[in-house]
Amino acid sequence: MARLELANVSKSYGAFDAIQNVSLAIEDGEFAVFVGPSGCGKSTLLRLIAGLDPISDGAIRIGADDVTRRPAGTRSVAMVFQSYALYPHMTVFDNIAFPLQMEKRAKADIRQQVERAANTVQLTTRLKDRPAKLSGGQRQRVAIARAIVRKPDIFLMDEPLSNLDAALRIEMRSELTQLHKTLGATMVYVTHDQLEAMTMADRIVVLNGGKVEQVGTPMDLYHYPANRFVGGFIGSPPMNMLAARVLGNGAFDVAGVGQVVMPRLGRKLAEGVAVTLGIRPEHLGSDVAEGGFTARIMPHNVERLGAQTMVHARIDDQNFTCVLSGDRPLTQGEAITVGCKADRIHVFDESGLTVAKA
Amino acid sequence: MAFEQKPKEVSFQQNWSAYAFLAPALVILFMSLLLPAAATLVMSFTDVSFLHPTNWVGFDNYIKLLADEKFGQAVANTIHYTLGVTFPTMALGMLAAVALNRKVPGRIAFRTIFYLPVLTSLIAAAVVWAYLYEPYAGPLNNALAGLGLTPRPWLQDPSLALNSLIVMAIWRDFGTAMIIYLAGLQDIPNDVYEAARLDGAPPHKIFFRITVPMLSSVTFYLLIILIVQTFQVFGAIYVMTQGGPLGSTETVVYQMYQTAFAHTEFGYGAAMSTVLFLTILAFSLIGTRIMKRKDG
Amino acid sequence: MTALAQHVAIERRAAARARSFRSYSPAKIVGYALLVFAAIMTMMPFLWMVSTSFKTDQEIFRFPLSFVPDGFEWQNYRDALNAPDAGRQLINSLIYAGGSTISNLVFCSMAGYALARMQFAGRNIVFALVVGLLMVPAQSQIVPVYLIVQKIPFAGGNDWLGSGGTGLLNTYWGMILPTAATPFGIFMMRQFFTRIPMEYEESARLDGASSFTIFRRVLLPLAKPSLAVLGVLSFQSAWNEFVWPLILTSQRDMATLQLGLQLLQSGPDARWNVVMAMATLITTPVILAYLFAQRHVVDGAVSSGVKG
Repeated sequence: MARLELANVSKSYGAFDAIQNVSLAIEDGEFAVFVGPSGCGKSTLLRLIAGLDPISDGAIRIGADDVTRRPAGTRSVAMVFQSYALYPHMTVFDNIAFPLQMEKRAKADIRQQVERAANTVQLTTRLKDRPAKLSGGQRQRVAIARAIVRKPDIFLMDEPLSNLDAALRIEMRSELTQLHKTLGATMVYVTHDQLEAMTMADRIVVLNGGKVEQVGTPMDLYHYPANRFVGGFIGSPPMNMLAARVLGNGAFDVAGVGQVVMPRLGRKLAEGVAVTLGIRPEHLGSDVAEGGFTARIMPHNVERLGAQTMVHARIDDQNFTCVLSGDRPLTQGEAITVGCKADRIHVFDESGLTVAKA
Repeated sequence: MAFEQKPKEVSFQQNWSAYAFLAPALVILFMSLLLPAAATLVMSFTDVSFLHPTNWVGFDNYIKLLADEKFGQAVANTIHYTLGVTFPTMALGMLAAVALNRKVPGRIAFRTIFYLPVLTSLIAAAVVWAYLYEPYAGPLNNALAGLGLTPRPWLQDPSLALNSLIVMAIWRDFGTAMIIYLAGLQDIPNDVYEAARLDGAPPHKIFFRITVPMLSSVTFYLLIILIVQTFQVFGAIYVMTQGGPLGSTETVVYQMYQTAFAHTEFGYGAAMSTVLFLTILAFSLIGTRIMKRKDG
Repeated sequence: MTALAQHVAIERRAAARARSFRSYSPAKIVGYALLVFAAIMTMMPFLWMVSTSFKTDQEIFRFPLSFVPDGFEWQNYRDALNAPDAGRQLINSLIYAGGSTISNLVFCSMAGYALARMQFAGRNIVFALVVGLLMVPAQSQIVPVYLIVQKIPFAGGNDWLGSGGTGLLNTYWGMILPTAATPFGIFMMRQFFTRIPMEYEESARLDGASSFTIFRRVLLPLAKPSLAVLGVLSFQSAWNEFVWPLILTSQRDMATLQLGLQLLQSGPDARWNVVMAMATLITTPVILAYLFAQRHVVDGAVSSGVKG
């Protein structure tokens, strides 16, 4: 097990900069999740760590070793691929044994290690089968067993659950979390699904356009998004974004809503500056608080889920969603008033950065 | 933590192992194709032979070639043979392909039968056809006699021999044309046919107005490979006629073989080879162009 | 050369969407009759070959000639096999075709793998060269190839400059070498390896496997269907080859079956029934190999390991 450190890592393909100057450290034993929209560079970054692609600039360090120049296979990392990459012509046993055979371990040792790994992922009964005979979930387990049998310093996982159906995905999610606890291993996990990131990660690295947008614990990102992108990306349904302008009297003029009291901010915003206000749907309520955000909305769709009621409306021609707790007998086309306290409002400046609260 | 060095573009190139993987194949290709092509060109400017020391002769071989009536006849025979084989082969291949592209009973059996001659070795085919054409005891003349027709000396009559060889070549090659046409037919979307049928087009119109035009790029490609292949005819002539009677089946490659190996005039043979090579290369380049345009 | 691969693909696709042959209009019946006629005509030379191979010496010259032999004259086959050097020719043919097939499988798959998957300087140039060599007509090269084989240094009494002896003429090496790797084979294997998902190889690389181990333990087993096609095609073309053995051998004991058949037929006391028996014996293995490949080469093993 080891610490992973990236220093000013960049990767370009010709003129295209896939990864731009990424620096971050993942602590020993940490479960780190790289998350971002498709094309953000998260998989590329994983491949750079693995050594599958050479980096253009910067350095990668695993434990005390600078592995920047080392090719794949010499870095003590194991990877679980999105497609699993199980060798179709080998049995489950041989698939799991393959990395050990590459290390030229003794046969008896290999057998023991493979059986232990298979036991960890509950596959002991399928060792003689070929991958084609296994279900999607079982193939997934073989891929994981093949990774853990090596006892690598770092585990890399590239969207490992994306080929599973929804129910299995939830099950595997908790199994992977459990596995991480059992092994105490350093894991780097790539996903585009922020829900996976939130539920599994010790720390999340949000990537966008080849750059790190923010690094933090799930709750850090949820409560204190560093910028508009993270605010919008983390959380489901996504944060409502409203265009606004700073007024002289310490309030915002919100398009389609009117004046809204400004939360207490860490820095003063000049009059007339355009900002974006972000409000999470679940922070909105029908019990409107004094001196906060209030809006009269016309629901065009109401989803009553029992535990909560989702209200979809439009403000200033943008989607505006409220998640109201409990079952509310609302109907579409019947205007309601929703709001939240001022300190629930996220304020993003013109460049998209969060204006911190006081 | 600070890193001491900042490497520029680390690469994991696998140069040496890649060259090791490629080396055997490349050595063989060099020896069997690249070097011979270059050697042919060089030799064509010499009088290399086993009989005397080698001299540079400049363009003498080519000048001799232009005036060589025998070579002229070989070229004419080769063109006659190529045209005679290529077009009927393509026509039969297309007909067979169109017929077998639908769900006819025994489709696979027909396809295999039409493809069997392609699999047969040239020598086996030549030997069998030499027997079929045999003037006295051969089945063909026997059948003609049985029908009260005049038997003919198929391979012994200068006016018949080349055409007899052509018939055999068509028999042997149309399976190739069929397979390639079948592949081409599979690329024509079914709805084109359905649209034409809904418009009330009769089958022969569908064939000439839709199938044939849509196969045009396959046809061109096939034309080229058949030309390239038939241009190089040798084995059948070696076995069945030895260039005779009266040089009526003498072709370029056969004459090249004779010049080089019977008369040991390697330089002169190389000049013939160069002419043949450049001709074929030209056709191949055209073929590649067409193939690229089709794929493109 | 690609015909077999295409044939297999066609077989699969046609089965999926062939149009039906429902109504029996007169035109269709005539068309079908023509098809049957064409098939019979195509089979005719084969049928005569087999029928003649079972006829006695008298039957061959009977008039009118009967299509069906009176009985099975197995003696013709015995005579064909007892022909001078026939056993030797069979061994030569097997060594030549086998050697050519094995070397094509090994060298073409190695080169194809390097071209498809490895990063190295000059990759595009090498690939362009292979594609370019696809167009060089082998038959036009008989003269220089003969001289090159003759002038291989240190072989067959040659000195280091390749003169003095006969080089590799009249040896198995000399026969096999010119066809030991073909541009077509390299191209085909390269195309195949390009289609195998990258992850297999990357996974093995992460596990510390060397390029050769990846090739031998992971990619080659995945390439079995393509190797089967390449093997059948290489075997067929070497088994049927006439020109190279003709030129590169001059001693009787190095002749292949194809040369033997030609000698048998052109000899002064040639007997058609024995010649046809020999032709039948030579033709059968290739047809069987083709029928075998047609049924077994289709194999979707590659897709099963990737994705669910």
